[in-house]
Amino acid sequence: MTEPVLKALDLHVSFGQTPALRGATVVAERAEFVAIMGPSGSGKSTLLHCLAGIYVPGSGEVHYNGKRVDRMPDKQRTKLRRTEFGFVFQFGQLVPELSAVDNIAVPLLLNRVSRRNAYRRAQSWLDRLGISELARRRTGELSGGQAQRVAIGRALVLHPKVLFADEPTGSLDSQTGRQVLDLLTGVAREEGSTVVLVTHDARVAACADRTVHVTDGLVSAAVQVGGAR
Amino acid sequence: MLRFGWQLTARGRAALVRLFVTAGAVAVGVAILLCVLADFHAFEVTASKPCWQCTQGTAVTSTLTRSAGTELWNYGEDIFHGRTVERLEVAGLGPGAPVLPGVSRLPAVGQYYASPALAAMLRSVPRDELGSRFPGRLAGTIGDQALASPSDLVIYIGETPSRLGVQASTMRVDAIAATHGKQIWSPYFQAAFAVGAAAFLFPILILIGTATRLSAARREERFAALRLVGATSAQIGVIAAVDAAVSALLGAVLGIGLFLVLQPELVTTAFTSARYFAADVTPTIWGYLGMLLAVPAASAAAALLSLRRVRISPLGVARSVTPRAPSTWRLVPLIAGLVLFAVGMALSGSKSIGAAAYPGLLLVMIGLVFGGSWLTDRAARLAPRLARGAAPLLAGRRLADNPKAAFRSIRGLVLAVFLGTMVAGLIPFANATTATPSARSLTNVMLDEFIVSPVCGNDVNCTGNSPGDIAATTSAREQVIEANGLPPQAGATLLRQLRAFRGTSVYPIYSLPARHGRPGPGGYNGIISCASLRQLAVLGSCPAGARAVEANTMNLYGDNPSDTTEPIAGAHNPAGSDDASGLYLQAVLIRVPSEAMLERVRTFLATHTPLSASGAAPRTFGEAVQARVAVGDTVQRLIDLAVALTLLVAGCSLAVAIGGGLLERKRPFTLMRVSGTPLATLARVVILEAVVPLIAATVVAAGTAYGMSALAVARLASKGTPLPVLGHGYYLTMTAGLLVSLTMITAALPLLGRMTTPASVRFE
Repeated sequence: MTEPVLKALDLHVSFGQTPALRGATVVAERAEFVAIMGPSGSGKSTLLHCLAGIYVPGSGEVHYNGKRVDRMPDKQRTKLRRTEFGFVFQFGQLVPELSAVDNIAVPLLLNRVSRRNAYRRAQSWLDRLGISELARRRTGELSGGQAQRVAIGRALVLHPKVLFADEPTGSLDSQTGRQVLDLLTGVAREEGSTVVLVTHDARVAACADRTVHVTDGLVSAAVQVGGAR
Repeated sequence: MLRFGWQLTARGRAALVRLFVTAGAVAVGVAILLCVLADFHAFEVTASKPCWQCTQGTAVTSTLTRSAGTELWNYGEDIFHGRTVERLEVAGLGPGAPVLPGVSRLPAVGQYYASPALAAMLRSVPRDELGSRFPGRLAGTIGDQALASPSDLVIYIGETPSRLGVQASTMRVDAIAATHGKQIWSPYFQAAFAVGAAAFLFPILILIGTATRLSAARREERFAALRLVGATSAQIGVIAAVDAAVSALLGAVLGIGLFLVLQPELVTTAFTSARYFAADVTPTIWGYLGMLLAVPAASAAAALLSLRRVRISPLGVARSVTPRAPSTWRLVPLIAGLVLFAVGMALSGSKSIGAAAYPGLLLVMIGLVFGGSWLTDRAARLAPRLARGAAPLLAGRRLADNPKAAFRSIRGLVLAVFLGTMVAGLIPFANATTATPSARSLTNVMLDEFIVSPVCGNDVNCTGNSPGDIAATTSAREQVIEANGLPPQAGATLLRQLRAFRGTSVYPIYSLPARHGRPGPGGYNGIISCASLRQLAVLGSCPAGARAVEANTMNLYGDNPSDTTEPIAGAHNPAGSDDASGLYLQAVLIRVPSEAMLERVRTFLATHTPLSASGAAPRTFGEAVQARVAVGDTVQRLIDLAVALTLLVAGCSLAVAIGGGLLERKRPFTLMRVSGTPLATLARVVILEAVVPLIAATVVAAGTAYGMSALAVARLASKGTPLPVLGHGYYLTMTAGLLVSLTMITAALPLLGRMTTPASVRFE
């Protein structure tokens, strides 16, 4: 049996006196699509942030490819997020002054890819996402769905091993949300990336290979769905 | 609604942080403004002090009569280490003689009163270098009423009427002048202050405006929420105005406090190189009131104005205007100004400047401000191409998004750097025209003339007459002395005594006997030995075989070293007799080996030439150069100060603008950091956003100013004059100012780190 790409064991996180996670455990296999569901305040986003190395849990372990993420120094976790992980959020992750192609090129430039190469690759992602005509548009000139496509391009341009998505369709209408979700899962599958997605929408969760339910900081159930993939 | 506005202003940690950051920035601006106002107030108080030196009297008749309420005055100026000593010898002629300012009674015979600075000097300097010039003993110090500055060197010496009455330039006084004197420089300084203050006020107002608009986007979101629950636009206006005014009022109060801390240091920032009295360095009550009322009012107005640029609806905030990229047309005033200036310079000669140069200069200054946003836009677009990585891209795009806003913070800086560079380029040239090679070769040569001087400096007794134009009341003997100098025997004795000073070389100039000091045919009024001229080569040469030469010496007694060191004789001048016996001593030139010897010789001259009619203190050509250069130095110092302060204010504005920009971009920056963008990269973005316009504006303003000053020097200076070289002081000021600005900018970086920490991220 192969080692899971991500593994969180007995995670405890508190914000002040308020516990957010109380012994949560979850794993994600290579190229698996895991949905994390739960009501507001259940701790699902906190769980995602622990898996992504954004938060360091109070106790418990987070493993990525066998390495202890929770023991890494901040600099190493930052590098991990930049090189191995990709992120898509509900909204607001694009830099408003930059055009669509600029936004996708930024992670490449951060990784010291040459300017010409970065823009060539960013443009190819826009083509792949079907929004090549929006390359020079700025964030404020994009619709919600278009902005999320750009965000997906930005998240995947470095071919991350794991794509973390926090309510990526939460601010979109159902039809656009469906299109964005299909795009996200389709491209991630083509890239062979593991997807960890937080949602409270059962229709979105239905697309996942497996759904993890979080209630009051505990993973209450893991449901094998075997949906879209 | 006002109360509600106040509650919103001070409610919550974020609101309080914003309140104090805004107030802090306003405080810096208010403190600097108060410092400038205080300095100017001190300057005005000093300039308007009663000028007792301007007292007018009547000529002294040969018979002195005692009379009540009258006294004899003999005012003159002395020099010590290049500093002027104002010396008044006074003798009461009866009861009720006017009491001099700053003392309770007239000095008795054998006593003197000295200003505190001179009294301290008299205690510390060897007596033969200074103290021996003043007969008697110190009876007390002169009070502030008589002094323009605590560093003034003034002495009142008590004398007998009989002794004073026979001295040249003594006058009878029955009332001491109580109005301020002729203010030669004050109107210029006032005009310069007005222009400087306007240029300086602008960046400070921008700082205050930027500070009060801090985090405008966040505030506007809150206003949108209020609109959603039914607040009207007018009510939103009131809330915004209260919000801004409260921050500004707190800032004004803190600024006044900061000013009071800095106030003691301001005494050394006098315009005219002297020190101010500490009590004078204060803004007026109107200055304080202005700060407490005008700053909050202006801030409230700025807040209302900024609301006009956005449309706050219950559904959110929409920018009503999308900034357009600045057009190339913005360069037209700058180019037109440069063309006008070049035309003006083309029409200029060595003695006059073409009229077109002045409007050209003004237009260039306007053009730099007007074209600054275009420049910022170009620099912003160029930055990502010149530097690799994501940071230049992010910073460049942000700047290009609204170059006008980016340039606003440094608008005043452009003017300050421009003026600073112009002055730094031109002052050395102006100084070089004074400190000519001839003048420099005579730096340690002292001149003492004994005839009536055509130039008398500030000597109140001086009529500015040329030799021979002598008051009718003077005796025939005095008239001869005033026209020709010291009588032969007294002159010979003096020369013998001067030659006894170790290491000195003495070069006498005699009056031509038949002409009574007036220039005769060919303008020759003096005679000098050829041996002396060989030692003072820049003053001319002798005809072949001559032992003495007739010379036109009048130029020597002017006050401009470039004129006074022109040749007084040449090969075509008539040869003169080298037998000086029987000739009146018109003047003497003395080369001194050291500063101490200079003062010893000067002290000797002050006490051993009672017959001298010149009224002018002996001084070296080096001191004459220094007196002129000091005016340029004062201008340079003021401009340097303005540049340094403006750079500081620009740095504050940038820091505040950065802080505001960070708060507006908290979310995308935080998410970028979450996505693995190192904090150092985001810090580079922030620094570049501030540094690109700062450097671009500084380089363009300095480059334009240097080019213009070089053009001016090329046209106005004699051929072969090298291009102006900017001095160390200029580079030091610029570097220090930029470093302070950068420090202010980096002060905003901890906010970036705290604000974008991934551990504090909350996703909606």
